Amino acid sequence: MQDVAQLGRLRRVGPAAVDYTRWVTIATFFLAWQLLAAYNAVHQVFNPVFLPSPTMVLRAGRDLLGTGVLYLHILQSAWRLLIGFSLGTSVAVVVGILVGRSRRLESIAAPLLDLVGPIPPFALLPIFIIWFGVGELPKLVFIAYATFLPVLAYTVDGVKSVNPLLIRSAYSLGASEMQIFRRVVLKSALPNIFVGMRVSLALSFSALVVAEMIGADAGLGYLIIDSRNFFRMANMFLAASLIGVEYTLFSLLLGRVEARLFRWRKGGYAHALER
Amino acid sequence: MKLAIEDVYKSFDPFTASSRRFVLRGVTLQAAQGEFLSLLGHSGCGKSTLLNLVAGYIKPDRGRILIDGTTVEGPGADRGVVFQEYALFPWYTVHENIAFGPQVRGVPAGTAQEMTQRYIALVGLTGFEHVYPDALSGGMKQRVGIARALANEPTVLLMDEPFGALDALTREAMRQELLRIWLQVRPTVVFVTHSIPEAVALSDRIAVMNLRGTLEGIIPVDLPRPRDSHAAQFLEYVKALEQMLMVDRKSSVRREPAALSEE
Repeated sequence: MQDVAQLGRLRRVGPAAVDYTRWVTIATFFLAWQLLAAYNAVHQVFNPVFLPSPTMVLRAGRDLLGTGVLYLHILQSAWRLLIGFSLGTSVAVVVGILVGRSRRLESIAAPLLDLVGPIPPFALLPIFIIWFGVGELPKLVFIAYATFLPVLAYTVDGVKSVNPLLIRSAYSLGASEMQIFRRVVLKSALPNIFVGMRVSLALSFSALVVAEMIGADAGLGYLIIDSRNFFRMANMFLAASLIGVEYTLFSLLLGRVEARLFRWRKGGYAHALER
Repeated sequence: MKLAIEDVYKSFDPFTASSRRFVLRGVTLQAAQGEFLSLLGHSGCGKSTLLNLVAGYIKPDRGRILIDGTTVEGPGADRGVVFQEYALFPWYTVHENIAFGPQVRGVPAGTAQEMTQRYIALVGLTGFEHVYPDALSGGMKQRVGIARALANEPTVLLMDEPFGALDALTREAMRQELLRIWLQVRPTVVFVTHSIPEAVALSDRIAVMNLRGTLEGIIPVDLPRPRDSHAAQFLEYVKALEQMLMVDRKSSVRREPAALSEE
């Protein structure tokens, strides 16, 4: 047992050494920011209100935490993203599989996608608000819509590129249409679907922030707008940073799920040569 | 007869084309229970097309194919297929690949598990149950392919140049392995190959196909197994088959323009 534990500790030496420079870079960034803000506070190169120091941002965070309102903003945003992103992804995967399997459906869907695809989702937000009212629904639909298109495109591509030999061999093993769909087509398209989800995640977060900036009463996007109205620069920096943290967490979560699902997958540039 | 191919025609040109080239024109062939039948010919002679017709992936233009007296309408579990490119499911382990057939056919979990283990042992992959196909060598991948097809206990086992992608040494070893497995399980096998020694080493009968899409002849191989590929009798078979295929190549070159305008 002890040997195994030792091994784990030894193996972690490699990546840790790489992480070292990473942390130095990050620490240097914050230090430089702090020094710049401190220098500016004394010498007034520009209005010091424009650039609060990291410690000021942290203090703003502590104050907001004290009132209990920060949790609300964080959770509200996370929840909205989760619902919108899941909704958009699920619909896109279902539609993508249907479209990818039928040439006729694809010829119907392709021109429609060419029609609405080039319109940035953000251009449609006011229309969504008029259609779905000012409540939670337009925001969720909007985030879902921003998620939908990339996932759809990648899903269709994934379904279309399933190796036909695998479908043949599944038929010859006695699989039904449904079994082939679940055990072959979906499994084979899944890595592609995840690429689509990764692309979409960034878009979903942008949609989240924009949606919260327009007619919301909570959420990190709302916090930015609310802080601007009262000219609280530190709070704006805080909210922006927290959006970054949430994105990172969601992205890590997605990566974890991928790593679990695609253990069978090897290859790519990193596996070409042993170094 | 386990397998009966009756006067089968197949063209890949559309029905409306003014002159259709036929890959197969009037092929009739049978395989008996437990027989090892090889389809031998140059590439482009239609041997894989014939196998795909038996598998039910494509449909004949004329004629029919019967398995145990029932006409083939599409692919099914009664005809197991082993592919040259293995066609293993990369997201399933060795065990999951071999269990695929029993599982989708609704074999109870316990029986499916037992069958899977038995076929893993049969092809000599014990200890590799939980490995993904990506980590296996070509020869091992094809062992999985064979076990996966056999685990369904098909009426006929169809093998489309199963050792075509293997190196010479592995190929020789796999030939012996297949012979051992065949002697143990005794399935009816239709084996597509362009290797004359491979056909002679394995087959009960060899159906030689020519480039005109018809059968050049059927050669029964009357040698006891295991066969010594250096024995005089073995080499005589090889020579005879070589001559059949050489003649075909010459005559088909001459006939090609005529074949284009037919029908």
